[in-house]
Amino acid sequence: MDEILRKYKDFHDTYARVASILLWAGLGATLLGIVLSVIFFIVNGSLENPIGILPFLPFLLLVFPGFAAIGISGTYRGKWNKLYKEDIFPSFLEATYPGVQYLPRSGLGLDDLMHPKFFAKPDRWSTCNFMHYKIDTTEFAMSDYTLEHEHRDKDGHVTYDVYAKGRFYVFTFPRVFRNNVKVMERTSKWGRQFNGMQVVELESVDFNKKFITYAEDQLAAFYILTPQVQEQMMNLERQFSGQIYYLFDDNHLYIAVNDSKDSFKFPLTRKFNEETLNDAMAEILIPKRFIEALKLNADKYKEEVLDHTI
Amino acid sequence: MFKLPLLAVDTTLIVVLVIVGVIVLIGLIFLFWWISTMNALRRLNVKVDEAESGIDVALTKRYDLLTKELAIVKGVAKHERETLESVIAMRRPEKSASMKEKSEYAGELTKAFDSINIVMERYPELRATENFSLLQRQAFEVEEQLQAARRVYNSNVSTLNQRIVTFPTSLVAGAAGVVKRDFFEAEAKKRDDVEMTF
Repeated sequence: MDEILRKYKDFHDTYARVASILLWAGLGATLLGIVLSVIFFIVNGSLENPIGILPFLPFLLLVFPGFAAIGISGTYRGKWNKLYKEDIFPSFLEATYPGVQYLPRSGLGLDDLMHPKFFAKPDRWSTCNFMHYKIDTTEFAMSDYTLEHEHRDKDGHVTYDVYAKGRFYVFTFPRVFRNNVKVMERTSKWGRQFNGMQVVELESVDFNKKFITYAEDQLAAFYILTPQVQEQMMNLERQFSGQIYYLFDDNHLYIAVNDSKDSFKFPLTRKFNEETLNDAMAEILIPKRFIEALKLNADKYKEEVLDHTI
Repeated sequence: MFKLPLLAVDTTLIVVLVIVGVIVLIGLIFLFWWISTMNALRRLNVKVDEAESGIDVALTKRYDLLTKELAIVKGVAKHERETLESVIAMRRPEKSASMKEKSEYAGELTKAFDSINIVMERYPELRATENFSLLQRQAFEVEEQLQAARRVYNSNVSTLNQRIVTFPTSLVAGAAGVVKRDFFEAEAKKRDDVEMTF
């Protein structure tokens, strides 16, 4: 962390300063150029002369350079984003998950996203920031996702509305469960498909108030959702601003966080210090946190040692 | 002139019919409520029975594993043989036994597993046995299943008992012969494990 801070702080601060100066100078010059052009236009227009070149001079001398400065400021932002995504973030990742597979431009497939039936089928979708890793006996794959519905007006114009966006995780463990268990927040708009599942009320009134649990078998729900796991799910829910969905299915646990946020971004406008870097690290640690909180590496999720009962 | 008395008769008839109709309707609603409540209570009772059989299955599996572990331990720990045999001589309750008896039996099984663990500490070569370590993992899994079955059972009993003591469902419960059920008490150690700290 200290090494990253030392190595990239100067880059960040210089880029941020230059980008900020260029942005404000560009905006100021553009605004001033427009105002002067209007004034010259009115003044010239009131004379009996033709308008001439004078009203256009501020455009040439201020507005165009202003636009150029704003554009250059944008390239500094782009340079920083590239530096963060290609150098800084991978070194964070490597430090947390040695040998991790990270593909910034790839993501989970639509089949994975649709399998747990958390969301309706999209008309347009995209994924990015794919990550794959294995901790002990549990593998995980994750990516950002955006799902959109198409809207067509009476003139045939097509627009798209984002109805779900966030991070999607697929955990895979050795144990194969016979019965599916689905947990979702009561405020969720999506994911109410039942598929032969029944609603299960667990012991905790608080948990039942926050989440609704569906299961193919009551015993499976109680077996997986122990009081400690329920408590951890409540804690995890507090970490995210949007909704969270869980599905235990065969030897997989699907988790979707629908909070309209992109992951692994560090805007140039954000301060580059230990505190903000720790926040960025915390985001990387979320899959690990899921594995630890839900005890996915416990004996319960290892190879089955008894009959195929739950 | 002729229509007046007829109108009077018709009105009375209509009033009587309306009253009878209302009474019949109330009766039908009451009957429907009675039947649906009785069915709901019986369904809950069946769910409790099913959950109880889940406990029985887990207890049986636990007992079977205990005997298998004992068979291995006895071969090595000859000095403790008598102690271990007295453990296995415990009385297994019938399926129809009360929940209190089953809870006590579960407690005795736990004590028996604890005894085996003590023996294991004296004979570390046992730990290295592949068969024994598998049995131990199975014992852990059965324990997890027993805890889940216990929670399912208690959850269903809680729902049933709440319905039974609530008026007017209590009237139907009394007539249908559905009675309050006992909880399956967790051993003190297990109770600590499941303590909620929200």
